[in-house]
Amino acid sequence: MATFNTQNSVSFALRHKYFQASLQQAIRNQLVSSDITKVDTSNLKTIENPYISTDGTATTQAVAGTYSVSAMATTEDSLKVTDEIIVPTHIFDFEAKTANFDLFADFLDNMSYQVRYNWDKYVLNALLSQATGTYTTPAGGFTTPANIQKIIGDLLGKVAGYANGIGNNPFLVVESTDVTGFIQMAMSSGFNYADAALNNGFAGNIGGVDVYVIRGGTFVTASMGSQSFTNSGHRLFGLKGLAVSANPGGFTYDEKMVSGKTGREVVAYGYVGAKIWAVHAGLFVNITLA
Amino acid sequence: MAKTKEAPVDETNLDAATEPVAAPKVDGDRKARWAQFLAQAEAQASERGTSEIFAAQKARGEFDTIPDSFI
Repeated sequence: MATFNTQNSVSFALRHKYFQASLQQAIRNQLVSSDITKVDTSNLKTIENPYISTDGTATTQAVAGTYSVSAMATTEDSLKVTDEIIVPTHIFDFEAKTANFDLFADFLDNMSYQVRYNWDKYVLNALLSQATGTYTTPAGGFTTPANIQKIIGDLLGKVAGYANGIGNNPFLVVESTDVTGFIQMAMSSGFNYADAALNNGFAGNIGGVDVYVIRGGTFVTASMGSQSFTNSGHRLFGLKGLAVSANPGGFTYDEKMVSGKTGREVVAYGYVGAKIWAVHAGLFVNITLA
Repeated sequence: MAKTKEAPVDETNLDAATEPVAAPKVDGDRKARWAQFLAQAEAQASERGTSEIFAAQKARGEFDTIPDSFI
């Protein structure tokens, strides 16, 4: 018998309710890679993109009508999909039948996100590892408000003057630990800019640069699949739409009966690759926090 | 579905409950894996055309300490 009028009693005689129809899930991270890359979902292992590696040589000369032939050259460049992301689990029949929630739906929703998040994390780290532009922030990095405008200006200078330069939607990916500097800088800027930062929580565009915030620890010094990344403490700047992320066939979900167990084994998976084409590698900047 | 359940604690013997249940990881293994990781990262940096960036990271001492997140 349950004891009433105490803090510790739990009784089926008292009313409980479920707060929502689905299982509660952890807050999800913002996914940004599909905003800054061209996403290719065609069923291909390799995407080829050869480039002219030795330009034609233009000569400006007094009129003579003669010339010397110079060689031009091409070089192969390709994106190879070498890694996959898999999230498996098993839902027993008794769990599916007796649960208060639709476990298959809720778990699949969660698993799809886990694949998608890891895909995003892989792409961001792959792009950062391939960027050949370099920049070291002033001391304090992005957390010092006074640094933000200088950093943005310096980064834009690295892509200015090219046809695919500033006009081509520059982006900056920072981690959540950097946000404090951006917020303080925006709030001290006054009037509309300050209001926008205060109202929206974050000013997403500074000096024409779309700023994306990902959770701290997304840029890693670790292996992901076949790739070894040394990106911890670094941030990424570049131009949108020049890099490619590959996800052949999109994400796949599969459920199957297995021997020796009731219910279904459930697995969500996808393939991943990412590439900054060689001719554009310099337009992507590996930022070192000082 | 894997269910998470807290292990029961014998409140009459809290010392026993807080004793480590597994031997600590051998630090030497971790160092060896770290060295292997760095070797692979350096080789891949060469393939990616970012050897100079890797060398600068190394010179700055970014790899002197094994990050806690490295398993």
